[in-house]
Amino acid sequence: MKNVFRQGAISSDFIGESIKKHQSKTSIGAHTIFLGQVRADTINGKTVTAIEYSAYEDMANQKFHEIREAAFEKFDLTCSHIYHSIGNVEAGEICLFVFVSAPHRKVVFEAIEYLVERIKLEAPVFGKEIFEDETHVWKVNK
Amino acid sequence: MKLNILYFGLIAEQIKTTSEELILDTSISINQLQKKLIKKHAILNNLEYQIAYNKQITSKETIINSDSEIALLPPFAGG
Repeated sequence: MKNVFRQGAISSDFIGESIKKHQSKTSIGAHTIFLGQVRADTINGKTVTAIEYSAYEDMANQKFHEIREAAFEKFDLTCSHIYHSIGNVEAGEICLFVFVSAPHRKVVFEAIEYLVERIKLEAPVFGKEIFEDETHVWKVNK
Repeated sequence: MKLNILYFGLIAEQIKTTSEELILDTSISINQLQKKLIKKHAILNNLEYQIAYNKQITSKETIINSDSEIALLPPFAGG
């Protein structure tokens, strides 16, 4: 099973490299990319400086695999990739990278939304929102 | 029968452990197991979580009848 998790933030270099790798796949005519970024939310007057992600990694990787398989069945895709951070990600840094490619544009918009919504809802990933004073709260997806 | 119970996120923080072993001599349902865990960790009464049985979220009536991995999962925050 592919490991979706990457230690710390997902760098723009990594994202750029990933785009570059797809240039040899010339049946592709359209890509969509979703990037989740850590927001410096203010909660009870304190500002979030980072999120520390943890996960039930075995189950999450299984779940990510299942979600990707379902997307391939539902949409005519050439490829799809998911990367999620584990550990500390500072506000403003990228914590989720979803990449969908297909011959034509229409399905990539639908597929990216499908993937991201299922990831948010079904992947056992947990996030500790850390404030400037080192206290924290646990994030819950809406 | 040996159950490996895993705790994550807020649950692990509150219970102050990330895993524990439970040895049982009879099969039990997820529901019955949940009652046992609450008896041991009263704080679970006040927390929101789902239970995964061998990495799948299943119905509370499901019977556990062999060595298994059970996980208590607080609300998800991926992405």
